[in-house]
Order: sequence, then C-alpha cells, then structure tokens
Amino acid sequence: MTFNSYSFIFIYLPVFLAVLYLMQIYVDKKSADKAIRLWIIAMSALFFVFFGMRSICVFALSIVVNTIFAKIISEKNKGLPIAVVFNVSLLCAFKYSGNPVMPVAISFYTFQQIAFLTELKRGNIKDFSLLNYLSYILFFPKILQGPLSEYDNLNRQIASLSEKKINSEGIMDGLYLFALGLFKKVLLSDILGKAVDFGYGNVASLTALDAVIVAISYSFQLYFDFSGYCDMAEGVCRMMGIELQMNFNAPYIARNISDFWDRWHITLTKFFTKYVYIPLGGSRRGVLRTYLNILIVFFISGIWHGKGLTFIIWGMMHGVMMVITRIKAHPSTDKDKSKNGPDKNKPFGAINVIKTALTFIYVTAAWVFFRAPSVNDAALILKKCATGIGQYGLHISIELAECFQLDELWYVFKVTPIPSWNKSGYLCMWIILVVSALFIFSGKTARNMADKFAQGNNGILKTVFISIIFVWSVLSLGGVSTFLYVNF
Amino acid sequence: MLAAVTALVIYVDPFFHYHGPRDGFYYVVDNQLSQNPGMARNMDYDSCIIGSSMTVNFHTDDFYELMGLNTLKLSYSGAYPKDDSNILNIVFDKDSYARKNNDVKAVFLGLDVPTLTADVNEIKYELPMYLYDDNPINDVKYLWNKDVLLQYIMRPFIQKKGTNLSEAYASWWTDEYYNIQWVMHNYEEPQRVETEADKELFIEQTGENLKVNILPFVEENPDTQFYVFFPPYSILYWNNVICENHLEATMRQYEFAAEEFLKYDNVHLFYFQNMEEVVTDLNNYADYTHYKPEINRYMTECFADGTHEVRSMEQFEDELSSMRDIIERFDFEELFSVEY
Repeated sequence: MTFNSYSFIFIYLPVFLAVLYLMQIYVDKKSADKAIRLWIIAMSALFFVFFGMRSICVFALSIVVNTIFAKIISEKNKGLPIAVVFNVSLLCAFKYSGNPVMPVAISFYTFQQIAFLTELKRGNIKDFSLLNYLSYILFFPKILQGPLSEYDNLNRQIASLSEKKINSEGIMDGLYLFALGLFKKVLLSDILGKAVDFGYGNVASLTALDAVIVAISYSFQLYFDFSGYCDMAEGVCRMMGIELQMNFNAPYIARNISDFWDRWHITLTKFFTKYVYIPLGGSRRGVLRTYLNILIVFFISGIWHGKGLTFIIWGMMHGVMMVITRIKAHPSTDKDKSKNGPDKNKPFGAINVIKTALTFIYVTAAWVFFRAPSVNDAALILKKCATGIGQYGLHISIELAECFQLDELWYVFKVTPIPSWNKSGYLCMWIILVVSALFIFSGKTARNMADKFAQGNNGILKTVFISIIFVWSVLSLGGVSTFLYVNF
Repeated sequence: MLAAVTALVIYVDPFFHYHGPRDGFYYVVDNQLSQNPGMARNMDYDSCIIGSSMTVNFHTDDFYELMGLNTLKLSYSGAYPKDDSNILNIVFDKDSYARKNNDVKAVFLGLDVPTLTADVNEIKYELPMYLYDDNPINDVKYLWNKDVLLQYIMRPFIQKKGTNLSEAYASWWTDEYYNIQWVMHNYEEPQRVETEADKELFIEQTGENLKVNILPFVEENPDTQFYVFFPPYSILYWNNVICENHLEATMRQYEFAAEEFLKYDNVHLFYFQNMEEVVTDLNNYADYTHYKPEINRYMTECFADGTHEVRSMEQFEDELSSMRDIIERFDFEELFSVEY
C-alpha cells in the first residue's frame, strides 16, 4: 500500500485515525499508551503486508534479530559491532547481490535499526521495551522512505498521544499538507517523469536543449516525488498529533553544496554525520583527515543509494564539491550568516542568485549520473548539455515536448485561440517547467505553506483550494507510478 | 466535488459499467480492456464477435445487413483463449441486462490456433478487474478517474464526436499500409530450427485450452450458433511455421481443433486459410497475418451463405491438403529474392 492509493486515502487512513481518536477519548489514561501503540503496530504491519511475502519476511527477520541485539545491548552493554555488521550485511545481501527485486524499505529501516541500537548502547534510550521499539520501527508514515526519525523524538511523541484529544486544526493542517504532497507526487512528479523516462530511454537522439530539459526535469521530478512523499507522511502525522523531523527545506535554493545537504534529505545527512562522520573522527583529526572523512561519507551515501559506478560517481561529485566548499569556507564568510539569517529561503541579491544557480547546475549534473542507466549515457547527456549548440542543438524534439501533454491543459487550449494540440505540447512543457521552477526557487515548502494556512484567515478560500487540489490529485491516481525513493 | 464527479460518471457511464449508452451523449469506444465488459453486460445485442485483432475490422452493420443480427464487437487484440473465456462469461451471464433482454443467437469466434498452446490462465494484458468483478467498492477506480472524466466524457462532449460502434476497434492501418512493400520491409523471418517438432507436440495443451476456455460455452448454450473460423493468415505465416520446423505439428493441431468443434451441432466451422488468391497476395496484408477490411466483409458474406464452411472431418482433411499444396507450390525463394 502506498499513500497515493485509493485504499490508503479512503479506507486505511480514515479507519486508523477514527480508532485512534476514539481511543484517546474512551480508553483510560493508564491503558491508553499501550492500546495506541498496539494499534499503531497492528496497522503498520497491515500497511506493510501489501508489499508481499518476501518484503515481510526480510523485515520480520530484521526485527527479530535486532530485538535480540537490543536485549543484549540493554542488559550487557555489548554486541553493537556484531549488530551493525548483521544489519549492513542484510542490506548488502539484497542490494548488491544481483537480486532483481529488493525488499521494500530495507535501506531505510536498516539505518533506523543501526541508529536505534547505537543510541541504546550510548545509554540515550532509557525506556527500552518491545512495545516501544516495535511502534517506533514499524511506524507506517515513515516506514517506506523516512524521514529517518530519531527514536527518542518519535517515541516521546507517540507516548504523548495518550494525553491528546482530537484536534480539528491539526486535522485541517495535516489534510492540507497531505493534499499538497499528493499534488506534487501525482501531478508534477509524474508528468515530469514521463519526459525523464523518454529522455533517458533515447539518450543518443536527444538534442542539446532536449538534454538540458531532461536533466532539469529529473532534478524537479526527484524533488517533487521525494518531498511530496515526506509531505504526505508529515500530513498523516499532523492529523495524529505528531510532528516528524523535517526532511526537505527548499533544497534547490541552496547557495553551495554544504547548504544543499542541510536542506536535502536532512535526516539522512544527520544520520551520516552522527553515525559515520563523527565516529570517523569528524573534523577533530586534522584538515586532511576531515576531507577524507567527508569523502568516505559521500562514498557510502553513493553506494547506499544504488548499485553501480553511476551512484559512486554521484556520491563522489558531492563529496569532492563538499571538500572544495570546506576549503573555500572561512569562519567569517556569509555562509553561516545566510544559513541562520532571516532571508534563509530567499535567493535574492545578484551574488546569491549566481551562487544558487551554480549550485543547482552542479547538483543537476550529479543527478544525471544518479538517473542514467550507465556512465556513458550520463557522460553523453552532459556533453550534449555543455557543447551541443551545433546542428539541432537548440531544437526541442516534439516527442519530448509531447511527454508534457496534460489533458487538463488541452481543455484550456480548446477554449483559447491556440489552434493545434500537437504544437501546444511545447506550450504545456514550458508551462509545467516554469510553474515547477517558480515553486521550487521561491523557497516555499509545503510544510511552511501548511503552517501559514493554520495561522491565517480566509478559511473558506483555503478550504476550497485544498479541496480542488485534493480532488484533482485523487482523480489522477489511476496509472500513477511508484515513488522513486521506495527502492532505495 | 467528488460526489459531483461520481454522479457525472455514473450518469454518462462511458464504459457502460452501469447502463447502456444514453441519448444525447457521444461515446468514444476505443478501449477493449475497459469497455468490453460493460458493453457485454449492458448493450442491446443478440450476437457478438469474439477474438483477436483478426476480428477488429469486421463491421457489425454487415452482420445486420447480411444475417439480420444485431451484433456487438468484443475483440481483444492479441487475445489468448482465457481472454475469450473471460468475455464469454459475461456475454452468457443470465443476470445481465443484455441477457434479460436478448438471447445470444450467434457468436462469431475467430480462432487463432497458435494461441491454443498458451497456458489456460494466460491473458494478454492485465485486466482492470474493477470493471470485471461485482465489487462495488473498487468501482472508485472508475468513478474517480481523470482519464474517464477527460478522455471519455469531456473530450467527446467538446468535439461532439463519438465512435461508430459498427467500426469500433478498427485497426489503425489505413489503405496505403496494405501492400507487399510495407509487409516485406517489416517482416523478420524467424530463426530456422533444425529439429522437427513432434507431430503431437501441441495437442495436449490445445485440448486443455479448448476444454477449459471455449467448449464449455458451446456445450452449455445449444441454442446459440457458434461461427468458428480460422482466419486467413498470409503465406508468410506458413513460412514462419516452416522455419520453426513444426508444419506437421501445426497441421495436426488444426485437425485436432476442427475435430473437437465438429462434434457440436451448434458449431459452424469455417476454414479461410486456403483462399489461395488472398493469402498468396501480400497486397492484401499489413503484416504477416493481418488482412485488409475487405476480407472481413467477405468472411461475413461467407458466414451468411455458408461458403468455406466445413461440415465433416473428411472435408477438413481436403481443406488442409489444399493448404499444403499452396504452401508447396508457393515460390518463397522468389519472394525473398526481391529488395523491398
């Protein structure tokens, strides 16, 4: 089951929330925590059941073995290295052994298991119990693609559910965020995805401008897809009365790679910092060792994301640029100021615009390796982007433009003087790319839009707006692709 | 808003899931997987066309003109026997609106013998089960579907144009595609197989498929006339059979299938494959099997007047024998010596 399915939206979620709210009202305080946790565990297991026997068995194995390790660590304070080896081996066994179908969510829950056991060993988890552990590891909103939630934070919030009551503001806030995430996924991401699939399936025949559009489309698609999922996850949690850790904060307005990784997949960055970079010595063992540690982190990030040289190149491109950024950085530069200042999400000012543009171009070039089927294909696309101004260079293939055709726009064109649907493919393409770019580079996120929604007036207008994008998204559910990050 | 969308889709019902077509609306019929089950259940008809792309170019008006039958086309391009069985189950469902209003007088079944070796449960494409089952809950996939709303309700409404049901599902090849240059340019001869296939190789699975997917409908509906026909593939189909070295096994398979059908009084069996002037002239084809619409018209005339009908096994042996002659006499060397 995925968030973008009729069964999740219209059956699973309403039933889950209704029973949760009833428990909060009718179950006495003493038993409420236990009852709510059992309900979360049962429904999360049901959520996972839809991914098939193979995924269930692997996840069950991971849970059983890690429960044993947790018991040993909490009682004898030893066994962590073996536990880490087990988890990494389990991940590698499926990810790199040539298995065509990976167990769903294995990359995410493996990291969560490692983080949990490490915190247990460090003594940061005082109240370990099987019930708490299961409600944390199985918690369905983050089970598939994160965010990689910290045990302490999530467990505390789950515990607080027994004290809470149904909250209409939280429900509206959550619905708004869920609808925005669904919209990003089923409309923006999937329409861009058609162009991306076409481009990477026909690399040799792309013109230079085609290659640029395909590369940019993938940057946009990946953001809308992954952040859309996280918005939906956060939306579900807000309806429950829980707040997940932020995973995306307008990443494409970053002014350098370091800033980018503070904004993109934030919880993964935190995980690598806490459980890889710092244990390797972080920046405490001299400059060269710091750079080496950074490169190691991004190398691991590359192989975590996928099998093959393309992912390693992607990771190392980020690692190398991170090192260069670090070399260039000076304590008094504007980097830290800009990160903490009031205009953090506004890329205004000529210098900042140039920095943002260069960072986006570099990140997009790296994404080409992330998406391309081979290094040669990636190199060819980048070569076309960089040098192909010759014959047909600035021409856009009609086949590519047609990938952006959106039926909804056809009806708009039908009542305007635009005569031909065939040629209007170009117009659709530019509309979708420009609207996507405006949203992405405005620095707005669905999360802060939802926050403003909760605080502001014009309730009816906003409700109508939510309803329209929600209904539009629901009507678009048929034939929607799966989430890109579900296989990581 | 969702309630309004639901009401609109139920009222217009472009896939005929709840009722037949309404006057005043234009219906686009171009989606076999999604629209066949609804049409079979809720249209007014007394006969139907079942089969693969070999049947899509029939005009149902011809059946009315020549046989007085109100015929509905329920083809599935690339259909396997199980696909035929799925739709026949709906056609013969006594509880449907269609069956409450009309009995099935005739079924015109195009029998693609090569598909009879498929698994009995194999279907060509995954079916949108929410349109095939009786579960009202999964109907949301139909009721809340952007494509249904935009492509099948809004677009024909704006364009004021629907499908002529007589010609529904007709193939995209226009007249200029039916010529030898086009056929030969796109034809790829299969790899030659050294060892000849056992003569009985296809019989077991063919028998199983007929027993499970086709013959039960013939047996259970003795008042329905089944016009079963072997479509006239071009001579290139036989070249494939020869290259793959299973001519004897294929001939035996045809013989076996014919024998099974000829056991029933309500079956009219037609063998069109030995129409020499048709199958040896590749200007009648758009590829190695697909013939032009004029051939469909001719076959309809045959259904009406009994030409090419096979009434006994002796006659069928003669038909197969004449087919062998055509294959033996045909100059494949000359055909392949020309550059197309």
